Amino acid sequence: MKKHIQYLLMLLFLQCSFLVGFAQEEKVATMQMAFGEVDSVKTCTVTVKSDSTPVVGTEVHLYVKSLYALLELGKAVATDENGEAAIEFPSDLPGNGEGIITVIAKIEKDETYGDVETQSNVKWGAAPKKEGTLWNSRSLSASREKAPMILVVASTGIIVLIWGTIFYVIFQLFKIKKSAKLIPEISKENG
Amino acid sequence: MEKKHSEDTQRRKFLKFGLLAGGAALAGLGIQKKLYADSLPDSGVKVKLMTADGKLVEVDSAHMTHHIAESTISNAQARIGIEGKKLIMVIDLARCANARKCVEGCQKMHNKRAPVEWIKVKKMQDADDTAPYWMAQPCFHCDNPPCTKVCPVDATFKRQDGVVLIDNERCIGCRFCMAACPYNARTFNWGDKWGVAKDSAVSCSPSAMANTSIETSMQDKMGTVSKCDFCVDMVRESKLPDCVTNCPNGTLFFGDANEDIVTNGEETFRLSELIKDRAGYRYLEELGTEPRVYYLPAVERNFPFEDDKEKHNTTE
Amino acid sequence: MIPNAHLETAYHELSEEEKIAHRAELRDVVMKPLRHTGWLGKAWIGFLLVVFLIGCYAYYLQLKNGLKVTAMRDYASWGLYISNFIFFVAISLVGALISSVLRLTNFDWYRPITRIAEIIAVSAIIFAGLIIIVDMGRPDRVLNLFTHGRIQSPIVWDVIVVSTYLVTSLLFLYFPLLPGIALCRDYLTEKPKWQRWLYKVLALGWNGSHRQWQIMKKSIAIICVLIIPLAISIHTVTAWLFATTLRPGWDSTNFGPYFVAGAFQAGTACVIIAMFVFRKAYNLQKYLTEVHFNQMGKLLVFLCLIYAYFNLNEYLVPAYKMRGAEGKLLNDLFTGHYAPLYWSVQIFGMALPALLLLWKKARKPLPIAIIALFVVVAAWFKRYLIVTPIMLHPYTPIQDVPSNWAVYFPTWIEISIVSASLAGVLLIITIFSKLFPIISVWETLENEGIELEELDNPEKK
Repeated sequence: MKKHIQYLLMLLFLQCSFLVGFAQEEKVATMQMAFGEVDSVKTCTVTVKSDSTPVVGTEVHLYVKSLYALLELGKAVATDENGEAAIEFPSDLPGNGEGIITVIAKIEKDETYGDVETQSNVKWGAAPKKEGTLWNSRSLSASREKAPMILVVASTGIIVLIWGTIFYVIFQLFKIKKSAKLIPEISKENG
Repeated sequence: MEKKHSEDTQRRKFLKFGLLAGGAALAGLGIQKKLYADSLPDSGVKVKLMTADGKLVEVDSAHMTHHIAESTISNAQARIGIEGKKLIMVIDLARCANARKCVEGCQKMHNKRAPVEWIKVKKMQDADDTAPYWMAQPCFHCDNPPCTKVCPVDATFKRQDGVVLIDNERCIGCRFCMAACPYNARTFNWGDKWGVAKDSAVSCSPSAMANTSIETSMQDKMGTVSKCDFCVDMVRESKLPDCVTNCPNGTLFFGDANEDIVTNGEETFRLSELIKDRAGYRYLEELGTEPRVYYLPAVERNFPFEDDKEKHNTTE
Repeated sequence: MIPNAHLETAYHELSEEEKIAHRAELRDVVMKPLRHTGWLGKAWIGFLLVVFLIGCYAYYLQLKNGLKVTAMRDYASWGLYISNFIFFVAISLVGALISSVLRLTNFDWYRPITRIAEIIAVSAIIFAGLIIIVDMGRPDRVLNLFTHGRIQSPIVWDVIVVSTYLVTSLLFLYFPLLPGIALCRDYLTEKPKWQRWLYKVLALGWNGSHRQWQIMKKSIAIICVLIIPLAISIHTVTAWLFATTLRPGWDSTNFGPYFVAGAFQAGTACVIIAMFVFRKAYNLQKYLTEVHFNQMGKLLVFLCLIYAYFNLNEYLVPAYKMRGAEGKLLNDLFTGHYAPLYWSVQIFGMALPALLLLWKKARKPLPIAIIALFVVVAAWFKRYLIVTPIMLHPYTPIQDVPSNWAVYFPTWIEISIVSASLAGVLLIITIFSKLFPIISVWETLENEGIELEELDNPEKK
């Protein structure tokens, strides 16, 4: 019984969301982002329009996309009479390798327009932070191929030197054996 | 806590957990949940999950097992790491109330059981008269790692994304890395299936045994060292580590230092601002290990310090 | 060579007949234990074999079940095996000290004990290598050390230096032994076929020709110089296994010389015990004289004092500061949990021996052998104190662990395996002494002013 109720509830939920979605279509807001510097401060200006008339007094949130989550930039700003909301952009935010930052402007749960979202890329990334890392450089903590040169040279030198001597000494054993064949064995009876 | 994720991420998360009780979500479609419920006793712990169709459901945690992803990442790639990322963690000590959910989440995710903990929560007190606080300690993935320095066979190594991993197929079990780690972050598989969750379906499955990929390996090979891997296989899928998502207090933040952004799944901060504003520090900085985990001091705490009445991990 | 004053009596010119008689007498004495083994000797070998086999069974259990059969856990992740490893490496250094340092510094009295020192060195280093494999979680992957070895790791340095030292020590044992093997080849004709074959092959056709003596002495001179840096580096590198970590108690720049000093002290004590046992068991009173025990006693005092100096640096300097985690460790050693063991080791293994051996009477064979036994046992426990308390005093507090994780006391498996390794060392020494002369005939005769080379080659004189 319970399962059937769950099923019905799910249907109801799906229906409702459909209706809600339909209802929103009556008033559609569009957003446009413009990036520029105002008094040498990086500013993102979001223009919200509905049927080419500016939407006034709607709060616009600005986010930056990251690996896991969206980072909100400052506080939400309400649109002015031109439907514009200017949001300050931090100057030191790093972008990806090419300095590109993905910016998302959102109107969240607006009574009239519901959720509206737009996304744009801007090359405003500060120089990527140079992290001090030993990775891929020769170091004590790197992989075997990346051993410090001095260590490789010194250890090889020592090993060659020591083992060279050892092999020379082992070679002496053969010389002893060889010399035994040259000279007939001395009788040990009186020795 | 899952709200911030896109539906697609949720779907993959759902698949990843191989939720037996997908049955629970799809109960309306008449899949017999009972079949599974019989074989496993409920643990009484409910876990919230979002299903493929965007519904939030509660499932008993006993019905969740870790699904081993068929890793497409070769070991050569796993040794290099994810390009362009510098993974980092921030732990806000003011929020930690010793809920130990990070420990449990981690154990669940990596198929471990007590007393094997890749992340530990320790009661710290810097001096007799100073205030005690709880401190979650994962592997710090140091930038000057004492462990990778001493490894004789390149079994543990540093990657370009900052993560320190272990190749359990190469480790000879000399435990020099454990001796070298000043944080005791490393654990050892002292016996066969050591610390492997007993009731887990994974531990007996041949596919789990055959999984030798460094990133997705359960690190459960006998006689080898294992430790926190910063959930790099999940990073590849843009998912947060389980210790982060499991914390009920949002104590742990994770992110990419190159983006300068960290998140606990609900709140997102600029890493540099967070560390600057909250006087972030790194544990035992004076050792020069340069950990990739920052701590925010336990000031203006969300919870008063409460001593732990319960003893944990009392049996092997 | 500058003879020592007390040995001067031995340096009067001997006639050719006297020399030959001396040689024959010594030859008979060293050959006797090789010809015949008494019931005590057989029981001793049997006992060692039993201990060794019990250890082999224990290792079989460890291979089957993993290292969980040991008392080691995540905090005390190194234990008895590693302390035993340092102990073996330590006593192996004595081969270099006795045979090489004394040789190069023109001390003459060392000659009859060189072979004892060398065989201790060789057998100890063999078991040092074996015990480190026993400690490995995956001994089946030991070859990874060669296929994936990282030159940055102190373990790889240790593998290199241990194998180098083993080969060099074997050569150092082998070269002076050549005339001895030839002696066995020529005189032990009643031995079984395999043994005669062994002597024949190993003797390399030694015939005592002038040229062979020349090659041998030159080779020994080379090894003499080579082995000193090797011996120092083998134990320094072993010390670095600890000193290269950040752990309080190991994080010390003093560790290398501290280990080397301790090694010389422990090794010398081992040689004294071996001298005492062989003297009694093989009736070598005439060659391993009280003079030797007296000299070794003085050497041991000197080495104890050097070791005490490094201990002072190792413990008292940090104790002056009592810094954080290291302070806790030192408190635990000085007055806490480990205090009884720590003070026993320092007093009975270092302070008292140094003090007692100042008296000539204490340097007689029996008293010095007993004192040396204390030194060796203390040296073994000292290595335990160098490993275990440090592992259990990490920077991070040990919390939320089963009670057996926060302490360390070895299981019977560990104790059996370690006993087996000690038995193995003794077994190698015993069997060696039953196959080859335990004192070097030609070197001992040199002490009496007899050059065997000249006796072998009368026409060259």
